[in-house]
Amino acid sequence: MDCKEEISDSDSGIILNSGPDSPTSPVKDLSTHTRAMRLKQKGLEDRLELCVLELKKLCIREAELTGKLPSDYPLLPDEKPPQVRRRIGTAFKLDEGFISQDGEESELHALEADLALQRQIYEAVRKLSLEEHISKPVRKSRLQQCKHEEKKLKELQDAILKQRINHGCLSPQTCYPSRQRDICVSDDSSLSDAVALDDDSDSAPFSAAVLGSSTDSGFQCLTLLPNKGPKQSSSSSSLDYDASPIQNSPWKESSLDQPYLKQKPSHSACSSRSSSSPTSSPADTRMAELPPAPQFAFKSLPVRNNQPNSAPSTPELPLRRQFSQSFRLPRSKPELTKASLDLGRGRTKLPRRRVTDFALAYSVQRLYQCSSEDSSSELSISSYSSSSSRETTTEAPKPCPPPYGYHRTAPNKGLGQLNTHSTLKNNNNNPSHLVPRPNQVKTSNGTPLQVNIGRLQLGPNSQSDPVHTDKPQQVQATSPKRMLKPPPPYTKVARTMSLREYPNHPGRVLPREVISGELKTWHQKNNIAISKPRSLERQGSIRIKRPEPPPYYHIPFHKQVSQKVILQRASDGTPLQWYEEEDSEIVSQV
Amino acid sequence: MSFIPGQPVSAVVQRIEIHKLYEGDNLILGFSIGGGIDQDPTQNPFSEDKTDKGIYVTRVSKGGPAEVAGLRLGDKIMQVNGWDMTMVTHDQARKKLTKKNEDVVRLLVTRKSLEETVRQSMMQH
Repeated sequence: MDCKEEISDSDSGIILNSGPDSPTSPVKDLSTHTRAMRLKQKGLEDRLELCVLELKKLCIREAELTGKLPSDYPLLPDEKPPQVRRRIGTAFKLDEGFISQDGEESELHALEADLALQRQIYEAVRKLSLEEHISKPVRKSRLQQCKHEEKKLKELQDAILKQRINHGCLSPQTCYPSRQRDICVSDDSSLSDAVALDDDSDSAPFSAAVLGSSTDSGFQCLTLLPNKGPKQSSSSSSLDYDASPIQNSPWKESSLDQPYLKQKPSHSACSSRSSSSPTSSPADTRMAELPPAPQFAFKSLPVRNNQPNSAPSTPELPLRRQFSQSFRLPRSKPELTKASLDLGRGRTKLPRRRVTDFALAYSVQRLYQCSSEDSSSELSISSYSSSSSRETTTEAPKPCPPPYGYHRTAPNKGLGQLNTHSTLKNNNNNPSHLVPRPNQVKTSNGTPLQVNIGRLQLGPNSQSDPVHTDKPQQVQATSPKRMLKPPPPYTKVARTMSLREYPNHPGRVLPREVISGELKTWHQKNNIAISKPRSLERQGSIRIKRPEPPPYYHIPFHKQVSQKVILQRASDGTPLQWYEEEDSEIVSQV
Repeated sequence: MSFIPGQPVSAVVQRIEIHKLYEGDNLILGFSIGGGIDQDPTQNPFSEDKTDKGIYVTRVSKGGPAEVAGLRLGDKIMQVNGWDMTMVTHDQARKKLTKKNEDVVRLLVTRKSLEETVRQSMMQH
């Protein structure tokens, strides 16, 4: 620019000095020369101006992001630096998979796309509501927006759940790999928690199945997690999970010089600010000794503030309502629901499959309240099989092997359906196993069937006496060796042929017509149910043996109880493993 | 200290053994941590990769047990007594570090300078 100035100076000098006597040709040359120069200068000045404008814009953006104006903000001599407000970035990208539709199950896809969008919206609104330096009314309105979006999110999740229950998840794998691909890091964490839960419940086959089924989705942290301590996994499972990235607090720094104080979770991300004041007092003492670091947000925002947003929490509610209608729930229900809430929250990454399982598991929980002491294991959805087996172990006082035992063997041998059979045999004088059989398939169909199950709850559930006290004629007739109804997931393993085995049980009290009537409805429902719980197959734990229910109202009621040879016994005499001659199978009770 | 998703994380680490100090009723370590999978990683002033949600040392108190043991500001903690710290929440990390019955914590930490040192020494040979 200096040279330009010189030229212009000299230019002006020449012009000034030019008089009538000065030669014209050099002036002409110079004037063309200067004109070119002037044009060049103009061009460069324009460019400079554009660059300065761009720099200003970038500086302002930077200031919005970082909170302070950078030092190289171009200022005119008299201009003062602009006041910049730190803005919360709320832009997001929606995964491509949601926008395009497959054709089949487009309704579900549309719902899922909406859900993904709503999640992003909610995340954005939440970030906005957490912004510092905003005035009170603005903050209030943002919090309200946040709550509103959260409600919408929940509604969408509910709707999706209902859809899934209605249509069954035919291809959960195809649906959520696309979802998983977008933000890997957070997905890893939530999946790791899911895997951790598998580890927790010690169901090796199932966790292997989970791992196997999810590898195609590219979950990265699976490679790291199995090597780490189990305790850590369990602790991580107790913390919050969210389908969206776990970024519910700005970067927190905490001094390790204070003993660990567990943060009380607030129940809403949006209300975390309001609730952080009571919880921040322990944190404040810690923070006080830290050097001021303006770029951190020293808020002791609780970790668990996304709990209400986790998908599985919603399915519990409709089911629970259903159940409260149809059964008298035993006292352990509250602890069950609480445990289910805690555990259910872990199930976000495999929402479809888990939700279905959870629906089934939940229905089972409600039905078979017998050994509900071990509620947390019961509600472990991911390892439904083992959990239910654990549930049964608490029934030790009763000599009968709980039917949940067959869950264990089912993964290994696919004998699920036969195990119920065997357990029935174990309680030889059990009456109406016939009718409970339809219940199996019914429950697998989800909530509408629960009521039927309630009606059909016949004898053999001594543990579920509280539920059955309204049916005295069946309960009393059964022997002390009761068995639980087999849990629903295995009902599609619909070997409902207890009739064949126990045709002439003296205790069978229900008239045949009632049974037939129920069976008809059951048949109808079963036809729907046959195609449905395919998702459960993925767990590798169930093999459908008989998709069609045997028309056992036609089965003659005079069949012998099949023989079984007991191979192993527990210490209290409960048969642990037995060989059934009729079906040539070995059944193990876990 | 960026990681490739799907690949095992590898880093040059330094073992640091911090002997906690009794201060009144508490056992103090003399440093503060930041980060975690539940935190916003873009606000981490120490991480190179702003998507790294690991646990970083954000403050080392002068003369405290951590400084004495060799912990430096900006270190990323990979393991604490064998527990992984690369994929934990903030609270989990804090828990693992502030166990009451543990006098000593053995950390594996990594920092950029370590990698450079190793690289340089490898280049020399």
